[in-house]
Amino acid sequence: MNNIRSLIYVPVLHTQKESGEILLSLKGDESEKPADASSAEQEKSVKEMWDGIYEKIQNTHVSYPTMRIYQDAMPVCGREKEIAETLAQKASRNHRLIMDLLKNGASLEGTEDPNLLIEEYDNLSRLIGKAGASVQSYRDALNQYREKGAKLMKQRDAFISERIKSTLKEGETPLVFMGVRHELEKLLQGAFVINYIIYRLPFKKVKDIYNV
Amino acid sequence: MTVNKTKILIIDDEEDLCLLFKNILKPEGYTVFTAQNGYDGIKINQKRDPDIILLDLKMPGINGIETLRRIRKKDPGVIVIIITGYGDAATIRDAADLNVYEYMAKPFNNETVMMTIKDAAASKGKDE
Repeated sequence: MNNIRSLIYVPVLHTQKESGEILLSLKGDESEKPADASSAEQEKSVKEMWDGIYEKIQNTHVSYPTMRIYQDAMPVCGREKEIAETLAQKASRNHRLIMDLLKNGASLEGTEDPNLLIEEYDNLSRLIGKAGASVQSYRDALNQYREKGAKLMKQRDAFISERIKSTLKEGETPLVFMGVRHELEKLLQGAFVINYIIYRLPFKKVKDIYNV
Repeated sequence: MTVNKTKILIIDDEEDLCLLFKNILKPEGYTVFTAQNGYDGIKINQKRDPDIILLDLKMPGINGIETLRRIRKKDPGVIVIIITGYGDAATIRDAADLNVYEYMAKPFNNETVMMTIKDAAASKGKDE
């Protein structure tokens, strides 16, 4: 009999600061700082979002040792845990939650193609570089970012989908944290029953939505 | 009672939930309108011109996303907060494309919803 496995999908939002830090971590350059337009109000909403997600994950009753985590923008590189730890220390709520799950026995899997992430980084950098420009100039840059990002996203999602299918072990449940712009679920539907964890998504507090 | 000029439209097929929102919003001075389906919600939105819409997604007739699409054609600026027990990645993308203020899952915490409404009203400069 062909059993369709269950997958937990968590659509997430990252602030501009978090997106920048996540992508900078790929370069391993600690001296560079991401642009930070985050406000206290934004931070509060994002913290609440992650607290709510954590509570809902605990309520799934999936045992931690059988949980394999796949994370948006986590490159396949052999130092995934180290990256999560560094980002958690830099106050990424997403990665703090991952570290908590790892302490409880969950596993973290490299999820994305590093080369595609570098392209994503370059794309986002061009946008963030326009943050101080005129509104029209920033909007134009945002449109260019979205256009290029959409093509890149298709390639990223194809890689992630194959990665999940090829690395998941017998008896494990994948826990997938993905930015809301991903269309990964379309590639997973035939192979998994997808259960969503949604608490709140504060779109306007986070402002622009990035592909990380 | 707080002086408040904010008008809120609740579109949700669960009557109990509409009543709950009325009971917690009216004492705060909000003017509250309710609709139990998308068609009525669109009509009331045109007639009453609310500042904020609390919108459910799973309703008989047209669903919340289609309701919002129709509302946005004539009212691109109204603040919309989705409150739903239903959700998947595609619906969330649709909601983001339709410029929603926030997407909240049921069951919800009353305090969190109230804070979100206050923040949304303040962003329109109409709170208190």
